[in-house]
Amino acid sequence: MFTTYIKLAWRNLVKHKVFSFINIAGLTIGMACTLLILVWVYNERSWDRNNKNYDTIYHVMCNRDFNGEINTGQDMMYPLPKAAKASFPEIEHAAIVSFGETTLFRSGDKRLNKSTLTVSPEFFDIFSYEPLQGNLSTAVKDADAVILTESTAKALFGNVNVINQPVEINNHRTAYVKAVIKDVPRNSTLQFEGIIPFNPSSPDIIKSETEWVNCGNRVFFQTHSGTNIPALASKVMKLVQEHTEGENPTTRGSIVLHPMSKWRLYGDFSNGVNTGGRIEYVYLFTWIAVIILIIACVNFMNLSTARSEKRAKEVGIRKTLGSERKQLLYQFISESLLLSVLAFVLAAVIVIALVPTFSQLLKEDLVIPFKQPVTWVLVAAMILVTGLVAGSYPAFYLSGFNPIKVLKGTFLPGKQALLPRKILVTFQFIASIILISATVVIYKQLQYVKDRDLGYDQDNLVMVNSTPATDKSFDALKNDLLQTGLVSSVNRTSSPITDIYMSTSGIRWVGAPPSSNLVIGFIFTNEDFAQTVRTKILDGRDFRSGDSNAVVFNKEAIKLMGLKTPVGTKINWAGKERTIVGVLDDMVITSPYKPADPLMLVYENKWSGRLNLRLAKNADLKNALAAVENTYKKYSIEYPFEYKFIDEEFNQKFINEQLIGKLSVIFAGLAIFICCLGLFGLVASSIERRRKEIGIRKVLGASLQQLLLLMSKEFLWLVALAFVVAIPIAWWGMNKWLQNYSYRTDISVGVFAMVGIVILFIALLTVSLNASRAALSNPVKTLRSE
Amino acid sequence: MIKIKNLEKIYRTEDVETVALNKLSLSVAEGEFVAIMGPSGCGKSTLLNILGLLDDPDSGSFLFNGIEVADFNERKRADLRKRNIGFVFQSFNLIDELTVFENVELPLIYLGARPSERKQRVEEVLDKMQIMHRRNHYPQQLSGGQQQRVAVARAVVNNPKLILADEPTGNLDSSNGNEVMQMLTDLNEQGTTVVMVTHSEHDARYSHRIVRMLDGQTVLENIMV
Repeated sequence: MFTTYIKLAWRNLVKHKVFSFINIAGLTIGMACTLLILVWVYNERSWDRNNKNYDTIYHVMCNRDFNGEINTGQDMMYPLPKAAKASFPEIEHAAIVSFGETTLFRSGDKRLNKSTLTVSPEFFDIFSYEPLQGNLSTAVKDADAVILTESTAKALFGNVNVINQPVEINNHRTAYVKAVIKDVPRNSTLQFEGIIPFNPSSPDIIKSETEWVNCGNRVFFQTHSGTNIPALASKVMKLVQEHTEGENPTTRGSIVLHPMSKWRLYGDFSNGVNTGGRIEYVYLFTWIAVIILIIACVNFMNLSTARSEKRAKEVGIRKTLGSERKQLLYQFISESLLLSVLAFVLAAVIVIALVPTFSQLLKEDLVIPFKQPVTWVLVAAMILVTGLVAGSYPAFYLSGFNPIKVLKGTFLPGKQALLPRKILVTFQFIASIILISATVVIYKQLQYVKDRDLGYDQDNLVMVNSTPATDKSFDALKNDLLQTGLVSSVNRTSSPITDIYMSTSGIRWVGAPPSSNLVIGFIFTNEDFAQTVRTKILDGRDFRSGDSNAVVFNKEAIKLMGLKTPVGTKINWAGKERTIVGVLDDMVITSPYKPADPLMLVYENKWSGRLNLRLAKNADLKNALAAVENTYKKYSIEYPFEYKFIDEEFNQKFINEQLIGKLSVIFAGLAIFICCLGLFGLVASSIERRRKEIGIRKVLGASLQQLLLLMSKEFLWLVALAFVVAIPIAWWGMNKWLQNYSYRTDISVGVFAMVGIVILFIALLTVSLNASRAALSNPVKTLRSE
Repeated sequence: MIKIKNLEKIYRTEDVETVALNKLSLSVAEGEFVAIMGPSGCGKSTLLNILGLLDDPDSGSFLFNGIEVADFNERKRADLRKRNIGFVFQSFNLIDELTVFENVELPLIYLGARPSERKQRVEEVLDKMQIMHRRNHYPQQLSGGQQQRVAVARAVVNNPKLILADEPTGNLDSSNGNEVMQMLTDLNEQGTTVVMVTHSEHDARYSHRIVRMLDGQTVLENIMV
């Protein structure tokens, strides 16, 4: 019996090619979207799972209280891991790890800048990395060791058999390769290309061993399983307080032990509470996947029932020959399962083909987890659920036909038979309109933030790493660069001007409120800062050469400090009296979605960081960069020349929004496409029903336009109804999303008007394509067949 | 075989009530060939649908082989139908997507016959109906007469006790029509009861008895000699 069903289903598919194509295409696109999203979700959830201690690793963070506002930071004090491990038996391993730095590796003529982490010995006890050469636990205890990843080793030496090979580090010491590990997986939070052990006998480290106030590294714990984590966090806080004299923002705060399982998806903290993070995108797109699949299923239901007139005779005959309704139900469900399997196979092929492109789009390494049993369970579930959901309504509808009517030819589904189909199409359009509106709002927000006045000019602004050599000969280098005529201004900062690495609460001045615990970010810089980044000087002046005691604040910092006449005011900071020489306009440096950060610029010639170069206005980029490289190499031959455009660097801050923007466009586009397939099917069946009416109207003199209007009207009403229902939902959802950003666009009526026009146009096009065929056909034919 | 008494069937719409069968009584003995005639709208097809257990009466009694079936539910009706009744329609009603063989095989599938048994039986019937050479063709590839032969083959493949034919020659030319009537006659002679609705006096003459209907009632019975 089952083989008969399948055989018949197959012949039906082949016989009604257009219908089958539309039906399978809709289901395939829906399934492919869902599969792609599920692959992405799986990959998001797979982050860091390669660690064997995944469930017991914690990142030690601190909620610091800055005058009532709690800020969750990763920077911790150097002696904490050792002291905590000695005091609390529930900690199995504890390690201190730097935030990551760029290190120049040299071997022979090869010079490479690589990202490295500086770590304490227990790093490899906590985290799992696959050694290719050497012994990790002995290598990490050797202060002269360097541990390379496979790619770094190959880039430096051409192979991985490089144990005990010397590598010059930052041009000032020689280390020896003591181990080589496999490259760090892309889905790992801690990313590096080399590991350098802390040198316990270096004076800086010896000093840090007792430094409980300044924080500059990260701390990780691996606990015994079953540890009471909140209790451990409290004990760690007490330990910190015991070692700290007096009070500071850290001792007023609390310790957070952030589990590894939350690093990727729950990275956001607000006022000391872990509020989520990328998980919101995971949820968002999981929902989008479900909605698209439902839209595709609805499409299937619609098209199958729309074709019911054609299947009615078969149902009648089968019933006459003794088929029970149950058997017909099985038959139609079998058909939809067959279609579901076919669509799935096609969708799987599409997904396998698209994963590399999709990975590129997302800038991730997506992997299809073929070996995971859960994948196959999900595959079976998807086929089964889709087949059952999509096939259930048509099966009940078709199997309920009265055999007498269909065999007598008096069966013609009336207008009421169209009602469920209309409801289904309206539902599809509601979902699509919501998706499209969301996409438009996401893009509007992205554009709004991108168009924001940042307070400085990113155009033609290039950042180059400064080195000890360029620092030493800064004036000569600057002079040579300006001499090329291709660079108009040069300046140096301790951090890139797209980030603020350091902040201080130690600024003192006469008249400061006694309880002031103001936290202000600071950057060391030198002369021509304002000129190079092109920010407005609101009061006073830019730095000049030799301004060794000068500081410049931005408007926001001055406002927070409450200074009425800032220029000339003396402040005391880092054990030195300094004078405010200028006030600059606010610059958006860290988050483009938040108000400008308060900022102090400190004139400091010894601090190495970044060189900021303003290229001349009309300079050819290629020539200018070549000239900069030549000049740079003249002073710093031992370092590779690497540059970044500030605007490109800044755009990295939009990466999440750009990602969801791109994904929304793709999925909303496909959703509306599937909807149109559904609408196409509905219109086709309605026209089939009204063929005689159209013929009579034509004979009586109706014009093409009148006929098109007649046939389009009832469907355009559905789209209009969907629009009215969808807009409040879309407005509510997107308004909620926008609340995540302090700097945000508004949702204007124009957005929805635009969505409305686009949807109406697409719907009109779909209806007209179908309706015009019927309106143009010869009425004699349709009337004769009656 | 069939004994109906005071059968009533009324179709109702919002405004109109149409009496299709008006306290109709009729008996058909086993092995009989009965033709039902009458003008359009007299209730012939309604009667045939009720006899075929495709429809149920509003009131009255319907004994099929001595069993009251008027109040059978759909499942029971389907079961009785597939074991005892074969249908032949004016418009053949073959499934376009199935071949001749598969169309004829269908009733046996619903009866739960084994594939080998089905093959043997279908081939026997196709052979008898002289349509074996067309076994792998689809209905649209056949002439009207051939299609009706397939329909008759399908109707008899499960050896029904009763064949209900609804204007079986209505869509055929006279030569094909005669052929189909001869088939029904042959089947009847082999013991199958045949009840046929027809407008054709010529076809009716193949039967043993003509029942004439008007306004949902039998008005006259002619015994054919």
